Amino acid sequence: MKLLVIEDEKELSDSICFYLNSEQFTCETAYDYPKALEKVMINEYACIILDITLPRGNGLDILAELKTMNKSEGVLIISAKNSLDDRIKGLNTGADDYLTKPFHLAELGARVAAIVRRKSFDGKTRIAVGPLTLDLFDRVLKSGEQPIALTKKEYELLLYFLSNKNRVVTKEAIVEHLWGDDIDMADSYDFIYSHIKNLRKKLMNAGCEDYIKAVYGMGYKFSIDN
Amino acid sequence: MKLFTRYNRINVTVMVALFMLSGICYYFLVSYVLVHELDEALEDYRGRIENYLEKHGELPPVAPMDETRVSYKKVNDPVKSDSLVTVIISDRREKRSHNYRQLSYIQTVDNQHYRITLAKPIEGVRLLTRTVVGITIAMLLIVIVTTIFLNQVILRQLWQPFYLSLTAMKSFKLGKKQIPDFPVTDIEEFSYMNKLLGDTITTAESDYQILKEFTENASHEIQTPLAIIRSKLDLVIQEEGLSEKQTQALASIYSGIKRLNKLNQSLLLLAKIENNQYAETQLVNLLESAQEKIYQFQEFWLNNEIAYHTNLHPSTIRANPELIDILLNNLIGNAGRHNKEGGTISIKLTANELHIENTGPPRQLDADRLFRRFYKEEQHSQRNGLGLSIVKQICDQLRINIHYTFSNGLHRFTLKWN
Repeated sequence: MKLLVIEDEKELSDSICFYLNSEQFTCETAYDYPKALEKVMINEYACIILDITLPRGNGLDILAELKTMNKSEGVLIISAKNSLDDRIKGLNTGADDYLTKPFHLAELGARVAAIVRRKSFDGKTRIAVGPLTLDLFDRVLKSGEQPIALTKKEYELLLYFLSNKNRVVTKEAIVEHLWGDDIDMADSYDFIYSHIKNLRKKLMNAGCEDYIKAVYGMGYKFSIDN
Repeated sequence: MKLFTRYNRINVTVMVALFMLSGICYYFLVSYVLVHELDEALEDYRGRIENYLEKHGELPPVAPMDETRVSYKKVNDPVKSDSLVTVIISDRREKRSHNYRQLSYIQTVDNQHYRITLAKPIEGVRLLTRTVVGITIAMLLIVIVTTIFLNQVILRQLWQPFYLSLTAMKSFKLGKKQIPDFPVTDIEEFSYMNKLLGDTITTAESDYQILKEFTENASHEIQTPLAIIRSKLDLVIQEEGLSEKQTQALASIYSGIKRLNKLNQSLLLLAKIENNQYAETQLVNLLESAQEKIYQFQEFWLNNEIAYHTNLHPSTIRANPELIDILLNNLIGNAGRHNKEGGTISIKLTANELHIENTGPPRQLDADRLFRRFYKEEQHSQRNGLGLSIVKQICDQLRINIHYTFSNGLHRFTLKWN
């Protein structure tokens, strides 16, 4: 599947592509408005990552253009502006999600994965987790047809890991994803340890390998083949 | 001291001094004229005596009924000296003394020397004194009363535009984009003052606007480099085989970036609140908002063994929902953040009040500086010290009265609104 990153900051664009490139996705880039519009017109993308402020144009105009062309690409806006107004304007113009700079690449990965899942034709609502399947429609983890009880946080955590599999994800990024940006209780993120521990235990009890590896002093990595 | 009072004080003092001076001058002038008249009358009398002497060869007889006292005294040693003086002569019958103007000279009649003394009472001096003092005091009183009256009524009337301008200035607040309505006046000084005030305010307002826009633009501009740094870090940590030292350094960089980002967002938020970008309001259900916030935080509180107690009643406020969210987030978040293990949090919401009470540092916070930007209880704190100034800014915007107290080891924030 192809992704398009429309972002005029080349360094940021490079990072995004480098992070998102995988067996599943290949990234294309556009650094300005005309180039972006051209690519959008010609190609089909699974998801477009769109910066609002672009050289020689406005990102929102690309959104409007997509709409007139009846294209159903998923669009994730990445913007330096973090106000409800900008957010609403973006979402009303047809964007699927809105992410404020500076973001964690893992968060971007999770958002892109969610958009792609929502937009995929087959309505793919099941993700394989080794011998298990995660049912996104019913929001449950199943071993065969047997559900494995997960708390809400554990479910979200697992989905987050799956969207960023084989990548090191920082504790900071996990906390921001699960509890939001505002909740910064302390400067230590140790409290997520119990959630990770429980999820890992449940996965292993259901016959999985130990997917969740702690990366010392940094975060976690969900290592899974396929 | 009011301008009028000071002006009146000076005015009355000067006037009293002037009137005293003029009274004294008046008195001396009039009495000089009177005495001069008497002196002329005495000289005239002397002339008449000399005429009589020339005609009849003897001194005229003394008439006791005459107003002028006349006495002849034979002297053997004629010292030729005239004197014209004021003397006091006591009257035995009336038992009081009178001032007299007395002319005394030597007259020779048939080789006999006589000292002739002519004296006229200086009448009317008492009356004169009384009159002068009376008139002076009366005039003084009239002038003082008139002056005060004039000041009270006319000056106040004249200064009216000045006071109106002051009232207009009082309601002025920088950043509200409202230039005060100064009264139109045909008095040059006041209209000049109003023009100057108006110009100064306009300049200040536009400078302030530029400054605020600068803050907002600067904050936005900082976001992009921050995003680049963070994204590069996210890539670096994907590398296999990072050493422990490198990992520690990376963790520090992450934490630094996070703080910088928080700081930037807080500054941006403050700038936006000041810029009135959250002016849109709607009826916010505070009960729901508070419940939601408490639900979000409770996990952290329980993790830190902080007991919490809530007493929430239905309450609504007309406000911007985003601001209310930030307000509750900062206040309720602080209650846990600055708490201690085994501490307590108590949140009470009524129709028009919100109380948030928590255990924490065992001393009172500096209530004067608490809401200032970058106020920190501990200098090395990882927090940016903007949370409460944002709270204050929001409260000011929404006309909520916020108050901090400390008693029995409990820090309490009380919010009241109408």
